[in-house]
Amino acid sequence: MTNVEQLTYMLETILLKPLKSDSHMSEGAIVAEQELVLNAQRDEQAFAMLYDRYFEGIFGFVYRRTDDEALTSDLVSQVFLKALQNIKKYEYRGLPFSAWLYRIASNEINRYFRKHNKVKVFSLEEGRVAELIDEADENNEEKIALLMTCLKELSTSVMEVLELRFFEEKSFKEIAFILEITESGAKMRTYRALEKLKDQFDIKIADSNG
Amino acid sequence: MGKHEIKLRRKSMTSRKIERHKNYAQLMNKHHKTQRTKRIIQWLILVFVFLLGLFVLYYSLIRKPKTTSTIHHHQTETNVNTTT
Repeated sequence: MTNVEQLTYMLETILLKPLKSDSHMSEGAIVAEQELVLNAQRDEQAFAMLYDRYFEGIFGFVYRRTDDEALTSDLVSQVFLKALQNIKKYEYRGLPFSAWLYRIASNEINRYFRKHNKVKVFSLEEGRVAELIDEADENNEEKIALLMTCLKELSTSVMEVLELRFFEEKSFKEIAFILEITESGAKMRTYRALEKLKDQFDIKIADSNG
Repeated sequence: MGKHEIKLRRKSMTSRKIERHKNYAQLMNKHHKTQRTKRIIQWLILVFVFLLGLFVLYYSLIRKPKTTSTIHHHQTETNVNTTT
């Protein structure tokens, strides 16, 4: 099967669907979480609650961007250290506390790659990628491989937005805060990326929230 | 063109694996260590500023009498000139 044939085949079959997850926090939960943050601002021992709550999420995010367990461990430790050192400067902006941690993590990752002059990595879980593809059939691996090639062609800044949107399931407001861009900028990057992907795939996205 | 690498991972990180990297005690130790270093640096800066202030004050006090004495000397010289 040639590349063109493959693309024509893909055009008919690939569908992206929303992930089955309830990672989005309700407004009430965000406000309730602020109580924990306020406690941590008053007493640093109370930071342990936030550490326990977000360690796994931040670790997963950093690991996806480094593909190195030991390095991830160091960077995550650095992220929480910075958060602890600057917790008094934290201001509530109607976003979950995790957005602030993701922002620190994103900056730490970028700093690491800049300092070591390395090529940035996006290490995506096959299971999660397969979850994004609607129908599971025998050609799934081929579809995934082609999707990977297409994602490699996108710019890194666009990939950062896509990763946060479809793998971390963040709202555009959160993505904008994490990447220090505007909300419309985050939306634009996503839609541009999807437009590019639509040239090769038939993409359907249930993009209701955020 | 992308300036990044895309990798596909067969296995995802399990909660159990991630849990092994958790070490809150170590984090707190690091935090206290950096806080101590910060405090020492702040204290050193404060001492330096204080010493600098003392130094400036000392020189301004030393110079002042010199300038007044020269003025005084100059004035007496002119007085002498006018009387003669």
